[in-house]
Amino acid sequence: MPQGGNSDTEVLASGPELGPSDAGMEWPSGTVDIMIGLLTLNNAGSIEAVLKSILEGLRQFFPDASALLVNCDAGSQDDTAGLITRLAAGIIPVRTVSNAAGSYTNLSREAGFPGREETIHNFCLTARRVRPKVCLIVEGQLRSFSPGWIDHLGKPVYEQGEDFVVPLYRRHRYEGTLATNLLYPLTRALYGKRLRYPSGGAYALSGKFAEVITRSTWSGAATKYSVDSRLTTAALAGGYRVCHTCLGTKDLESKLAPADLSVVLAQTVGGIFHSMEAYEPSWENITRSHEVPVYGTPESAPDSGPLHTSRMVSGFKQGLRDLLPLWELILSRETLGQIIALDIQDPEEFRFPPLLWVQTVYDFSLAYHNQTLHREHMLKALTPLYLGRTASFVLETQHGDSAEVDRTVEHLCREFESSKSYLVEQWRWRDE
Amino acid sequence: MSDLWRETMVAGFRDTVMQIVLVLPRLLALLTFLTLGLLAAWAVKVLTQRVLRTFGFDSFCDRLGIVQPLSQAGVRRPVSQVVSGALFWIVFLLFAFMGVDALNLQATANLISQIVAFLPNVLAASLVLLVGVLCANFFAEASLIAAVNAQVEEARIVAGLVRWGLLLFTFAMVLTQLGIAKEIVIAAFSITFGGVVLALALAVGLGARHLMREMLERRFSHHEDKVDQLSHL
Repeated sequence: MPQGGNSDTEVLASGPELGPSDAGMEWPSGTVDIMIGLLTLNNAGSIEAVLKSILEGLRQFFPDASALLVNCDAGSQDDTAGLITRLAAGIIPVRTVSNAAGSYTNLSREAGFPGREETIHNFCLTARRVRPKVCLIVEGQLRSFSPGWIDHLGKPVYEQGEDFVVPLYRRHRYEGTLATNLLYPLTRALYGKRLRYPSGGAYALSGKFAEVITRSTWSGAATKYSVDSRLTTAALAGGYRVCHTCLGTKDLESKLAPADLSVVLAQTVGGIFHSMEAYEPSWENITRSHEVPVYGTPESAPDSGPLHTSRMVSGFKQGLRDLLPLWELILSRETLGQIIALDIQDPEEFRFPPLLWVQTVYDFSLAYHNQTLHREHMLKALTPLYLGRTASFVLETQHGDSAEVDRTVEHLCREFESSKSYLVEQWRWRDE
Repeated sequence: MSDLWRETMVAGFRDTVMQIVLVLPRLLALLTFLTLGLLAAWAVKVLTQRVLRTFGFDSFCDRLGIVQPLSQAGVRRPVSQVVSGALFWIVFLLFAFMGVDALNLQATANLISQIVAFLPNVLAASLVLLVGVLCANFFAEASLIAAVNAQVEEARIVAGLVRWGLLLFTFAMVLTQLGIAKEIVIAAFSITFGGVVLALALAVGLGARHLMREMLERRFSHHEDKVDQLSHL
């Protein structure tokens, strides 16, 4: 690790294309082994602990590697960037890259903090200049970050040659129901790799993959959708080596209220639907899925208490009552008929069968492809159906343990895979 | 007496015949214009429809998102048919006006020039109407989905209010553009809009203040909701 770090600050407008003259002025191409992107927005309160963990992790696990810290700041008003520069002075070279004011492409927050997407973009652009071997992305609000995470994230890329490392956190069995019931089964069925949908916090990327995504995922309509979804599908569709690494509990310091469910759903699901159009040849002929390497042992956290599903069922009921005219345009007659026939009298006995859910998701993807409705409206109209499926998922597994939940998710994934022929057939038929 | 009677009769007959002789060519011209108009309009309609279909105009409109709001507004025919139908009537009416003008009647004198002078207003009003109806449908749909996702029981009422509010606003703009009872329209719109806002303010401020207080407290205190116990990602 180089000593006596120098630091400088630059402000990048979102999405500039780099010319050859920009390439590696201060850090000649290929001289940095590990580039750590610290994404911040008003994290002065927690950044010291995170930074200390990063520095300690580098000292312990990568003592001989040359490292560069890039603080990608989304416009902090509490001198987070200055604090990082001061704390890291003399230990590691620091470069600060700030978002240009007002450059956010999407103000409706999906996850993380406003401007997160631009900070990741800026980091990848910097990686394109510096060409490091390993890129680590760490969110400054990740209070639970420990020195060992540098090892868990960095080693799969540094030593095993992986391109995209997605962390598995210690979570209780019902955390991430959108991921387990929709995003993961859908991406698995599409691209044939059992990579769980990322929940943010931290990532590791190879320099090669970081460079590629600056060219492919930050242009056109894709920028409206979740950056996590874009990174994941770019890695899967591009045939890059993907893996999981097991980290501990994800504890984020968040001063903001949680994002609205329909916004989260539209941005994540929309990202996958959009990628289906962009990467059509990559997924059409895949019929089976394969495991991806997992570094470490996944753990699950104990339940935080019983979950109440009555409000989810009433959300589904209201959707059935008020959004039926829209669902008629989106869903096939057969799927809609089965949804209408669901028994919603007793919320405790409510069930949304996996196969019906698969058909629903595939019909929505086809409607997205055909632009049957305004796309954002269509994606948000999925929310009551998702609530219905989630309620059913919780009710089906509430008396079981984590293994029971895993079995249910696995069963759902297999339904997604076995019904994929319906999606491909309809997709091709509508294209003709 | 008999001579006077005979002369009067002859003069009346001669005048009538003269008038008929004068009007007949004009009537014939009107009929010719109407026939030509029908033929020209039909030709324009068929030609437009074929050209639009050849260039995939319907799927282009579909991609632009025009078809769905039109369908919601009750127009269920392909857009190419709607456009060619509109052109049919425009061409036919132009010929019809020429025919009426050829009659050279006092009541229809300068009809064409008046109509042509008024055409920009009609076009502007049509554009305002089209954009207004599309906006009303779009925002009503958006508010319906948002209200359902927020589990607001009265979601359809909210969407209806948005739709009819925007349509009311559009109709007022259209009538103003056409210059029809301008003052009455502006006054009626102001009174209606002001009345609705006042009624809502009274309803919320007096009738439902406790409910509103609870809702605002829930909204801004990040009260733990049963649905939000879940971390979805």
